[in-house]
Amino acid sequence: MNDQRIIELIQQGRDQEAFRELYRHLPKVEHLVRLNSGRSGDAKDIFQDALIIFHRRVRTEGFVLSSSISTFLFAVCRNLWREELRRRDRPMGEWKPENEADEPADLTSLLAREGEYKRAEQALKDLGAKCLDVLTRFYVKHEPLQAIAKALGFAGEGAAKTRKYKCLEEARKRYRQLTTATVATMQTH
Amino acid sequence: MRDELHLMELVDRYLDGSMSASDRAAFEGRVTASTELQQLIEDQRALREGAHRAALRPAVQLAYRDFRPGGKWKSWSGGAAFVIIAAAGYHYWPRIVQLLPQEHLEQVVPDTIPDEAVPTEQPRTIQYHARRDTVVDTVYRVLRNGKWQVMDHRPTEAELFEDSSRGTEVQEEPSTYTEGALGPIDDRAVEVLPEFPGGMKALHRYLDEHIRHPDLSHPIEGMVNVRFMINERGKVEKATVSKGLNAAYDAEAVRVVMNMPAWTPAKAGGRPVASAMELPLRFRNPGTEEAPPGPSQH
Repeated sequence: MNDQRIIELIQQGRDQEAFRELYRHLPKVEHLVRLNSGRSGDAKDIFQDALIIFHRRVRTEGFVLSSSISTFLFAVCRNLWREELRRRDRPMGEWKPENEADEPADLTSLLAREGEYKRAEQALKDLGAKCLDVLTRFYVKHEPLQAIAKALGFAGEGAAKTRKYKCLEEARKRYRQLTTATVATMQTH
Repeated sequence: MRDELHLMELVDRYLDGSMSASDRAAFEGRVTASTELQQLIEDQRALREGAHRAALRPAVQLAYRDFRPGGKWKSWSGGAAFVIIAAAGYHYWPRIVQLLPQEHLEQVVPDTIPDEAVPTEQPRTIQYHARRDTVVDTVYRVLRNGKWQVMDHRPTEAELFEDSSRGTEVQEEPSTYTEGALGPIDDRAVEVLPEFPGGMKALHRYLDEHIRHPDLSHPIEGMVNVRFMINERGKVEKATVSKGLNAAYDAEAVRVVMNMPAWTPAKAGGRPVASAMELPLRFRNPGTEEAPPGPSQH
C-alpha cells in the first residue's frame, strides 16, 4: 500500500487500517532501539507515539507529505528515543543519524509541542475514565452536549456542560502539576 | 464559576475558529493584555490535543494486534547479511513440547567492549541470550571468521577476541554448516519477519504433534539447533543442524523442520525475500526431570 493510500485512509477516519499498514515500519525502529540500549517494548511505545504524531500531521490543515512516511516515522522515533535515553541519563552509544537532511525541518518544535500534548494526555488519563469519556466525546467526536448527557446518564445538557467544565478544570490542574514537575527535572540535569 | 465556565467556552470557540471576526478581534485584545489568559489558551489547546491522543490509543493498539496477532514475535533485524531468530527451547516431555516465550529472548549486545576497540580485521561478534523466567537455556553464538560457533557459557572478553585457530573451550560448528550452505540471502533490512501459518501457537502445536523421541529406550537430553531458510515463496529449505546431539536426534529435528508447512515469507522493501532462521529444539529425558544429560546413544 503506498503512502498516498495510507494518507487517504487517515483522512477518511479509517485509522486502524492505516496504522495496521504503518506497523510494517516498526521492525526498523526496533532494530534502532535495540542497538541503543533499549528493548523492543520501548520501540513499540515510541513507535506508537510516532503514529499519533503522524496522524496529527495528516489531519493538520494544508498538510503535504514532504518525505516518505517511513522517513518521517523513523526520524520521529530516532528523536523520541534520543530524548528517552537522555531522560534515563544513559549514554547514547553508537548513533548513526543516517540522513539528518531527511528530517522534517520543523521536527524539533513539533516534538516539543507533542511533549506537551503527551503530558496533557497523561493528565486526562489520571482523571479517570469518566472524565476522559466526556472530554473525548466533546472534543474529538464532536458530540452535542445533549447526546453526551444521554449516553452517560447526566440529568441534561446543563449537567453535561458543568461536568465537562469541571473535568477540564481538574485536567488543567493536573497538567500544570505534570508540567512543573517536568521543568524541575530538566533543570536538575 | 459561571465566569470561568464562560471563559473556557470562549477559549473553545477561539480555538475552533468559530468566532465572528469582531468577537475574535475583541477577544484577541483581551489575550494580549493578560498572560493568565494566554496560559489558559495554551493549556486548553494542549488538553484538547491530549484528548485526541487518548482517543487514538484504541486504534493504535488494535492495529498492533492485527499486525502481530500472537503478540509474541519480538524481532531484531536489519542490514545484517542474515537474520537469525533464536526461537525457543523445546522441552521434550513424553511428547510435550514447550515454546519459550519470545519476549524472553533478548539480544545481548556486548556492553563492555566499545566498537572502536575492535581492530578492523577482527570478526564481528554477535551473542544471543535466551532465557526463561529463571535461566534454563543459555545459548551463545559467536560469529568468528565468518563461521558461527556455539559456546556453553557467556564468552569472556579474551575469548571473544581470541584467534580462533588457537584451542579454546569454544566448540566448533559441525562442518556440515557453512554460511554458503544457506544460499543467497537478501541483505536489505527485513521489514516483516517470516511467520508460521497461524503464528507461534500453531508452530507450537505442529511441533508437539510431529516431534518424536528417536530412541525411547535410551532417551537423552539436550539441544538440537536447526538452522534453515525460508525462501521467498515461504518454503522451508536447507535445514542443517548447527549444534547437534547425535545422528538420530539430529535427523529427527531436521525431519520435523523440513516437513513444516510453508511459512509466510519475510518481506523487505515490500517484496517477499528469503530469510534464515534458527530453532533450538530441546529434548528432555522423559522420565527423570533431575537426571543429568545421559551419554550419547548410537
